[in-house]
Order: sequence, then structure tokens, then C-alpha cells
Amino acid sequence: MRKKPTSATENPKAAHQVRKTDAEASPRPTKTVTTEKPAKSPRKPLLAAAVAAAKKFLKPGPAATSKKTSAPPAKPVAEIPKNKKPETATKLETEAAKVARRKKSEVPAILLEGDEPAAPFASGPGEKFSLGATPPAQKFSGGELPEAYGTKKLFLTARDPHWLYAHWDLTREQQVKLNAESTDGHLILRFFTGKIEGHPAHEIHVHPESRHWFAHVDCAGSSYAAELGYYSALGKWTRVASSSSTVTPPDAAASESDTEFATIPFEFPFARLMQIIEDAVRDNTPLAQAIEELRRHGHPDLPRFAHSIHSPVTVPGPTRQWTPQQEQALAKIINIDETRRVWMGSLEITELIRRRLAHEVTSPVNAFSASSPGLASSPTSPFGGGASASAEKGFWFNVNAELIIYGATEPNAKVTLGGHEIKLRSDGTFSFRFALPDGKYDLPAVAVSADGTDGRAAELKFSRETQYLGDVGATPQDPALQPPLADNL
Amino acid sequence: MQGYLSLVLHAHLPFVRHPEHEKFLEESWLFEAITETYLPLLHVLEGWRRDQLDARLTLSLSPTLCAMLLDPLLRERYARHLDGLIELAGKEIHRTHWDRAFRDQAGLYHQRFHQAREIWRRHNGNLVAAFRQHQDEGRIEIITTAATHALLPLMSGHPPSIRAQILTARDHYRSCFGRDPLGIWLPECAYATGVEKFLQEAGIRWFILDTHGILHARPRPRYGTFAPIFTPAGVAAFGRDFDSSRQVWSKHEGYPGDPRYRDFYRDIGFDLDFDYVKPHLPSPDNRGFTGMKYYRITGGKGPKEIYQRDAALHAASGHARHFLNERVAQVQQVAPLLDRPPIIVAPYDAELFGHWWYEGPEFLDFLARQLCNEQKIVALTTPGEYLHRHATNQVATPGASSWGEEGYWRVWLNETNEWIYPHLQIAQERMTALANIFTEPTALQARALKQAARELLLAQASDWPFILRAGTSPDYARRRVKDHLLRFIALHDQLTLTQVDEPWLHEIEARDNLFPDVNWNYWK
Repeated sequence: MRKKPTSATENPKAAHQVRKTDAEASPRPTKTVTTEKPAKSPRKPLLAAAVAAAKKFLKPGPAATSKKTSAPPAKPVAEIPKNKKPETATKLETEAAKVARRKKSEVPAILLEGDEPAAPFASGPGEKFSLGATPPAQKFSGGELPEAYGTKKLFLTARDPHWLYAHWDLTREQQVKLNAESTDGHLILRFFTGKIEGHPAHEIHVHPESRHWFAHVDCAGSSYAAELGYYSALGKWTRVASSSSTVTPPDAAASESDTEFATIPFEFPFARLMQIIEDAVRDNTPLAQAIEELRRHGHPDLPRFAHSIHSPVTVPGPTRQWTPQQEQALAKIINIDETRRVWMGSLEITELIRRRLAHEVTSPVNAFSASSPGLASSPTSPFGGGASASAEKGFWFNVNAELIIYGATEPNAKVTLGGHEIKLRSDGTFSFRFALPDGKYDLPAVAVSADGTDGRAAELKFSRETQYLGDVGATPQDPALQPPLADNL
Repeated sequence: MQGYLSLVLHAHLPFVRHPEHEKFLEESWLFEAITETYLPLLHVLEGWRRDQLDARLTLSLSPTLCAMLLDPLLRERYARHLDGLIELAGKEIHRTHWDRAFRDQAGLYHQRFHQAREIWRRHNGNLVAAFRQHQDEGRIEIITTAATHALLPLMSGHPPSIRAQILTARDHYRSCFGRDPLGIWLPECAYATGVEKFLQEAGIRWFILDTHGILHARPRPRYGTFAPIFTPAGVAAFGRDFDSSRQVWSKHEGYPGDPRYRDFYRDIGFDLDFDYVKPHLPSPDNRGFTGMKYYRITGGKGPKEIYQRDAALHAASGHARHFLNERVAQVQQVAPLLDRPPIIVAPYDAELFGHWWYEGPEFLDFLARQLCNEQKIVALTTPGEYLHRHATNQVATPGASSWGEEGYWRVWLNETNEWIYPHLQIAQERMTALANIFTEPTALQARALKQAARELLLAQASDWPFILRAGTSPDYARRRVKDHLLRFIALHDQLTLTQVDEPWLHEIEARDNLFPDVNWNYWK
């Protein structure tokens, strides 16, 4: 299949305009040509005049393009006239002169759209909820939610291994009143690991208008509780509200590896299993544990092995011997530490693929205006908490860090990094990219000449210690990157 | 057979239904998904039935999606939409008469739309029943998800809300499929300790987590994601396989981004004359997707090239083979190390196959056929079947996690959308208060209580904060949250302070009409 000439696909509008004006230029046989004598038409040779007139028609103007259109990629060739009669030239001349004499008018921008090649569009596979390359311009009318309910409650939710979200339900008046009582002029959040007692793990001063806060905490996999309050003039802590506890998710594999197994026959509904257990076990033992205890004591109603309709007998429990070699072999396959974790759900798929492929650009005259969420006007609270409960902020900030260690030596030298020998390129250079999460890293680099008589060393020490102000995310990183540790070379 | 592969497709759309408008832009999410994903998927399954392929698939059909697929108004609108597509394809064939390459494309669309309509009519427009039949025949396992796809860990502070989302889903599943759901798709695979208690109550036996949900479990799972674990409550958790996700999604090697595949964005709704496409646009006033797209991804920065169906299908077949070979290698490497056959769990959004990735259903078909006919190392299964066969598993508490960006809940709780939660938390507590107060409501009060439950469930959908974060349709998402919360607040005030306004209640019952038998007592 022969590819269509570039002009048709790339500048469909321009091409369309060319053809359209040509089509318009050919007179219909039945139309009466009334040649008007122009008031002041300069005398010119007929052919030159025709050419000049035709050239004028090729430029977009109110006469040439009356529709806002986008050309289809293919236009039947038959429509373009083959011949132009001499009368046409005169008509063209008159028309052209008329056009030239018309007052220079403003060309609506929409008509010029598409004259330049369109900027690269969004590209690639689709994404969830997409209605076009840019969000649609929509207007909805309706009521607004109340600013607050005034219950004075403090809610706390873990959001990440190291982030908590707190918000408190105070009306503006309530907040103003409490701020006035505080020596700092604003409220303070205290975070405790475990119960609300003793010294807080973190104490955060919030803005006078804040009603929520994203707080960075140290311990993943831990229970936190929060307290909202203030220091009075006498330095006394006054509590406004306290939250129930929440637990931050773990961010690493557990160190405990003592394993425990249970056999839970699939065809037994839970309701039935619970009955069996309740009869025999008194306290709140979890189901899985209770079943195994009963099985060990030979409870008659629990089958020793589950029989399924698909296979006669299942594996009779795990092999007791789990050799260290098996464990190591499997660990290599299933080990992923936090930096190699790949979160591939619905949102980041699209972001990653979109970043890989073309860029998105909106035409200024495009029907869809890039609807960016309105920026909240909160001059006094740039970080962390939003100024008002109904702030529709879109602001976000992501940050991340990578480390590149690179160097060169004689091509036949032996180089070790962190004690592991590394392979040099044929020209004696090397480079390694690492993820750089928070932590301290120590990577000694040693180069020894091929004959072993000379050597050099450098001890590279790095540390990253991030402190956050406000809700800051981590830019997605190549999941194959590892932290700069000796084992990862 | 040395190991198993479990393909899991999660089909979900938020409840979008606007009887007050003749045509509504966001209803096109449903229409596009039906045309490009659900009907083609049924076509693939029917091929497996016809060819007696021993393939298995796990399909999650969300309660809101089922509600929309069963709704008479939306079915009627879709039928009209499909007729419109066939008409558009006909017009396109005519318009591209002189241009062979584009005419062939238009012809292809015409044929595929006809095929879609034929499947639609054969099932009387009832796709829920169509999928149910495949489950009854043992070919697929249908699982449920939370009632309105709420992010359950963010409700940890109010357990009755988690309970209501799960039990409402269980009830709806019963009415759609005539049996109890044995598996559940946790929305966004988002899990925090405590969720499994309500799964146990609902009689649900298994769910899926992202990889690190299993790898971070305590104590450390011996088999990684290659076998499920039992939570102490007895509900099993399967972990998403790392490698099979990467092969489909990786920005470096992912299949859907291949330049031979159809480009999602170059739709004729944007390219052609506005008046010409206007009757076929999803929104009456603006350009948008019609569903006919003529170009392939092409890659690079140059002009897009025309789509070549044969090359695209060839790519899909090649990718399916690549995927299969990788899974075979994976099983061969892992199986000797385990004391039972490993399972590779590969979950994806259903809409990826066909809608975002046009050749997706063909990829699935190629994969299933190659797997079943050309090798014997890997077999297809469902998580439920695996638990049937292997009832002995390690007990561990999974790590709180999700498959969202960064692995936890940042996507749904950040500066773009945090404003929602204070309102939800107050509303949730109020719902519990209502359930406790109204132990013997009048008929009118009962209707109001049910509607309050519906409005709260709709406000809790995780789709709204997701959209606010992704920016695809933020004005709409914002309006939805506000409308449902405002209706809830009004109902709450009417029930506790004033009096139920029957005409207004009647009007919103007709609009937000999902879960007709919702049980407000779940919030007690």
C-alpha cells in the first residue's frame, strides 16, 4: 500500500483548504457570470492577473474558509477541476480585486488552526477514564458542602509506611477561638507511637487556617495516635482532641521466618467451620489456628486431608525438611526490596507509558481547555495543611534521587567496588546507577594493575537524609535500580 | 503439569447514570467498555466453548458495573449507541471510497460493530447473564469487589463502613449470579489488617494482594507469591506475580505500547469535520472519542502511520508466545523448589484488554490457545480451584498495601483529594447513628434510610479521588462527591430534625437507583 503523501496526513487542514478553494474557483456551468466592472482595476495581462488572483485565494480569508473544519485524510481527486476557462480568469480578477479592496478584517483564530503542523498529540494505548488527550471542559452547577461540622473530632489515618494524615473538624469560629488561646497563635499536632502518653514522637505546628496535615513519621509497621492541642500562656499543654490509633504499613519483609501451616478444606463453608470451632474452643483464637489445634487433638469433624473433586488426595502437608539451599534458591527469585518494588496499578501504568511515548500539547483554540484544578489562595500556608476545607488544590511535588558511580582505569586492571569485582568496558571505563533511598552508604573502590604491582583506592561515602515539609511524593524510578550496597553489584 | 497460571481480569466502572440528560459524556465510559472489552471478551469465551478449550479465567465484575449492565435505561442507550456506530462506519466506508487503506479500516470497524451487535442481541442485552452462563459451565470464576469500589484501608477507622461495602457486594452478587461469591477483588488490591474479618463473615475464601502485600507478611511467607497464605481468619491471600505484571506494563518492554498496535487517541472524533462527526460524539457540544481510530502508535516523533490489522494481530500473537515462554521458564525454575505446584497470579484491569489496548482480547485468545495446545508445563487455573486442590497453606498476616502508585494509598489521599475524607468520616458516623436509632422505621423512613445508604456508598467510591488525582475528568468527579454527600446530609437532617420530603426522595430514588435492597443495618 502506498503511503499517502505527507501533506494529506500531516497538514490535512492546509491541504483541504488548497483543494477547497480550487473547487470553489471553478464556476458552475449554470451560474450566470456577471462581470462587474471594478471601479479602479489596474490594467494587467490576463494570465498574470489570473495567477495573482489565484495566489490570493490560496491564503486563508473570510471568503476562502467559511467553515471550521478538519480535512478527512482522503479527498476524492475527481472534485478538483482540470480546466479553467478564460471567463474564470476575469471572474478571478474581479473577485481578487474585490477581496484586495475589502477592509483588512480580523481573522478568527479558529480559522488559522491547523495551518501549522499540529503539535504532537497524546499517543499510545489508552488510560483509565480518558475522554480525550486533555480533560473535557465541563460546567456543573450545584451546592457546596459545609465548611465543617464542628464536632471537634480528630481523625488519624496512616497513608504510607511513613506518612500519616490527620484532620480535625473545627468550624472557623472554633478554630479562631482556640488559636487565640494558644501562645503560638495556632494549634499543634503531637504524634505518639502506641498510646497517647509520655513524650510525643513528633510535634508539629500547623498553620492557623489548617484543618488537615500530612505528617512524615519514622516508623513503618507501627501504631500511632495523635493529639491536637496548644500551649497556653503559662506553657501548659491543653488538649483539644485526641484520635484513635492507626497503624502504618510495613515497608520491608518480616524478619521472623518461623512458619506455621493450616489445612482449611475449601468445600467447608466458613459458617460450618466456625460452628465446629465454637463448640470446642472458648477464647478468641483465630480460625486458622483453631482448626489446627482441633485437628491435632483429632477432632472427628475435621477431615485430616481435604478431598477435592479434581484430585483424589492433596499433598499431605508441607515437607518438614526445608533445606537452607531451597530457601536460598527461592529467596533469590522472590526477593524484592523496597526500591525494586514495582507498583503497576491503573494510574502509573498510564503515566509511565505516557512518559515513554509522545508529549501532550493542547492547541490554544482547542475545545478542551486543560482544566487545571484551581489553585487555592492560601498566602499564609504554603506547606502541609490547606487553608480552607473546601480548597480545591491541585498542587503536588515529587522528588527522588539516584546515584551514579563511574570511573576509568587501564582496561586490563582489576577493579573492586565494595569488595566485589566489577567488569570494565573494553576501554577501561565503568559506570553504575543506583537508587538512593534515605540511609548511609559506604562503597570503597579499589583498582589494581594487571600485574598486581600497583594499585589505588577511594572510599566513597554517601548519605541521604530527607526531611519533608508538606506532602511530598517520590518520583517513580526505574524499578531495577538498587541502593548502593556491595551486594547489589 | 508443573505449575499454574491464573489470569484475573477486574472489570469495574463507577455508577454513572444520568436520566436527566439526553446524552451524557461520562456514560461513554460504559459504552466504550462494552463495545471494546466486554463484548469481545464474550466472543473469546464463546470461541473457547465452541473449540472445547480447557482454559480458565477469573473475572471480577463490580457491583456498580453489574448494576449498570442490568439497568434498562443504560441498555437502551447502549443499543442506540451501537446502532449509531454501525451507521458511522457505513458513512466512513462511503467517505473513504477512494482511499483503499482507510476504506479497509472502515470496513473492519463496520464488521466488528456488527459482530458486537450480534452478540449483544443474542443475549438480549443482558451481559451479566451471559457471563453467568460461562461461570455455570465452569469456564470462568466470577468474583465480586466492594459495593462501590471504596478504598477499604481508608475506612479502617470506621469498621461498619467496611462491613457494609462487603456485605452489600455479597448480596448484590447473589442476586446477579445465584450463588455466593467465593473470591473478592479488593479495590486497588488495597488491604489493611481488619478487612479479612468481614470477608470471613461474608463467606469469602480468597482475595488478591500486590506483590509486597505477601512479601511483607508476618511471618515471612516461605513461597513468596508462588503460593497463597491463609490469614489467621482463614481467608486466603494470593500475591500478584512480579514478572508477569512487568511484561505487560513495563515502560521498557510492555506489550501495549508496541508501535504496531492501534493508537488510542487518534480518533476521527478529533480529526474529521465537526458537523460530520457531531451525531456520533459522546458529548453533544465537544469533540470526543467516537470509537473509530485509524492510526497505529507508530512511535518516535514523526507522523502517525495507518493501522495495519494483520501486523497488529501478528504482534499480539508474538507477544502471547513471549508471555507464555516466560511463564514456562518461570514455572520450571520455581517448581522444583516448592513442595507443591506454584501458582502465578496475573491480575489486570479488564478494560486494558480491548479498550486501552485494542488487540488485548486477541492477545488473551492467542495466549490461552497456545498454552492449552502447545505445551504441558503450565496449566490455567483459578485461585478458587487452586485452594480446592491445595488446602494446606502457610498462615501469615499480610502487609497493608495496594497496587497503586508507590504501593500504598497515596493516590487516593493527597492534596488533590484529601478534602473528601472529613466529610466521609462524619457521614459514616452519622449513618451508624441512624442505623442505631431507627430500629423500627415507618415505610417512608425505611425508604429514606435506604437512600441515605445508597448516597453514602456512592460518595465512598474510590474512583472519584482517583480521577481528581489523575485529572481525567476532575470537575465531574468533584460534582459527584458533593452531590452524593449533600443528598446524604439532607436525608440525615430530614430523618433526625425535620421530616422526609417524599417528592424529592422519589426523584433521587429514580436517579441513584442501584442496590434496590440495600440493608442499612450493616452500618450498625
